[in-house]
Amino acid sequence: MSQVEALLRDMAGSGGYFQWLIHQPMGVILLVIVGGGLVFIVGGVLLANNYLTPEELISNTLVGTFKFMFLAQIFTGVLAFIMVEAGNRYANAEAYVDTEIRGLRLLSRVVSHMPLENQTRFGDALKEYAKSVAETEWPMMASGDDSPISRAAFRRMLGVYFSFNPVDVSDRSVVAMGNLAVAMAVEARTNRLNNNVSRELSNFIWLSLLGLVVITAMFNWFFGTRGLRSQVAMGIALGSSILTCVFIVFLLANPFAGDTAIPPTPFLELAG
Amino acid sequence: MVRHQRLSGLTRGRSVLWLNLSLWQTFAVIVGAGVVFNGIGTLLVALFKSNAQLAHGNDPGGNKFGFLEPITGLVTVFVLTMAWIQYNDVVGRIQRETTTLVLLKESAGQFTEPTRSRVLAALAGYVEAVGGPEWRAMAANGHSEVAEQALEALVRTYGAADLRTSRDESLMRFSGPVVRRLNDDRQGRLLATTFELRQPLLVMLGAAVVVTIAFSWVFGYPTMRGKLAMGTLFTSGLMLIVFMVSVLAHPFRGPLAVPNDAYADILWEITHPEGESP
Repeated sequence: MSQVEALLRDMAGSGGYFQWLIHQPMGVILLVIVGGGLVFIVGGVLLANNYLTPEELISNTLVGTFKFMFLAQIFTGVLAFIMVEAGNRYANAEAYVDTEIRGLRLLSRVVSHMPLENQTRFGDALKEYAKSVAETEWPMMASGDDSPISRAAFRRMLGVYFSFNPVDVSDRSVVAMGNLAVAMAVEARTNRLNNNVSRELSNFIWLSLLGLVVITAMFNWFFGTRGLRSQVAMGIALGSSILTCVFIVFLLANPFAGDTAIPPTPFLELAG
Repeated sequence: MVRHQRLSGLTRGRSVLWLNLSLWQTFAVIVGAGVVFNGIGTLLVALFKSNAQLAHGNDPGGNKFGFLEPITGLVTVFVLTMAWIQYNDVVGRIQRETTTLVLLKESAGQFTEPTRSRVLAALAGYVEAVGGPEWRAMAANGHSEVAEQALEALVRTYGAADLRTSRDESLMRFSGPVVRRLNDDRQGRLLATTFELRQPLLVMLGAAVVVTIAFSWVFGYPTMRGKLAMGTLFTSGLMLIVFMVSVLAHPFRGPLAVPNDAYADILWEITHPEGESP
């Protein structure tokens, strides 16, 4: 067990057991998930037909379908639950990026009411931060990390904003509005970086989903029809629909990686 | 990582044996126990009733009592959803509190001395208390007096701040509502950790799973190996859900315990203001 665990820990080292796959082209991901799954399903059907007699398989169908097939309902419930959760996570990631950009733009507008020196310094700091997020932090977020360069740039930008000394009522009202924008940007940045589930949780969800897919696929090996061809065809149809759902979940669960990643365009625009 | 050393080793509870196992060991124990239980039951029933005798009950059993299984399906998905919601709620509350702490940290660093050092020290004290003693206490659905006192000390520090410039005053106007929010966030986090439904839900799930597995023993199959093979897969599927629920039901203990990394990161950043990498 310890050797297996060590091997699995090594595989999980760079962001989860399945993290390497998301960096492949979408066609490769589809091929690995759906193609690999279908090979497993069809291979199992052929293997079961090699060891069990057709009569035995057909008899299993009669009892097995009404006795054990409710497992399919459980699987459907869990799959739907995971799909909704993955979709939600993807939508949240988009919303956090949008909120952060709105906060930064509002802050930039607020600063435009400050003295010219503050405006210039803040403008430079904002561009530096936006550039570092787009160029450095974005690739790192794919593995669930943040960039120390962006963190330092963000801190410098806030430092420039907070260095403004309000002297009259007008200045104070400007700062009050700016504070709201700061809170908005900090909250959105923290949420954007925290949106990734932890490595352990990611592995747990994927292993559980994979376990259920394997069990559901294997279950069908023990059912039989009069002809092997129709059994294989039905296995492929069922497997394709399940594995396509898994493929979609996989893409949605990785909002900052792969071909369907949310682009850093708003930050690039902000950086000019 | 170096930055996690001061808060490391504090996230795991010690009271329940299986909660000290790794994710794989927990999986093996729970699914293995279910498979063994099913195998023993299937073989025991076969000792007393022949396959032909059992097969007589297939029609009435399947048609009359078959609705037991959709109920089990409903129970398992319901309990899994509840456990997931509760786990995510805890994670969400922690994220909210750490965001508030980041806001306080960033603004506190802009005060003039000596307010800057005092506020940052009080903030570090609170972060350390939450990531340390309170984390352990939350594993037992409790809270820490140390964290309570650290929060009070933080509020007192802000209240007694020596504001020397208009910038300090502006920062204080910014920080006041954030400190109030920190108090709310802590209360919210502590509330989320007391999940009173955990035991009843686990009992309900356990009962449903045991009854459903046992129900399959009294059905007749053409061959014993077919019955055992399909029963093993069926049991593994059910026990996989039990495994998922068992792990998610304890957010501060076990293999999926929520780590205190976010607090360790904030503490590192407070104590290393130069922005050096860990």
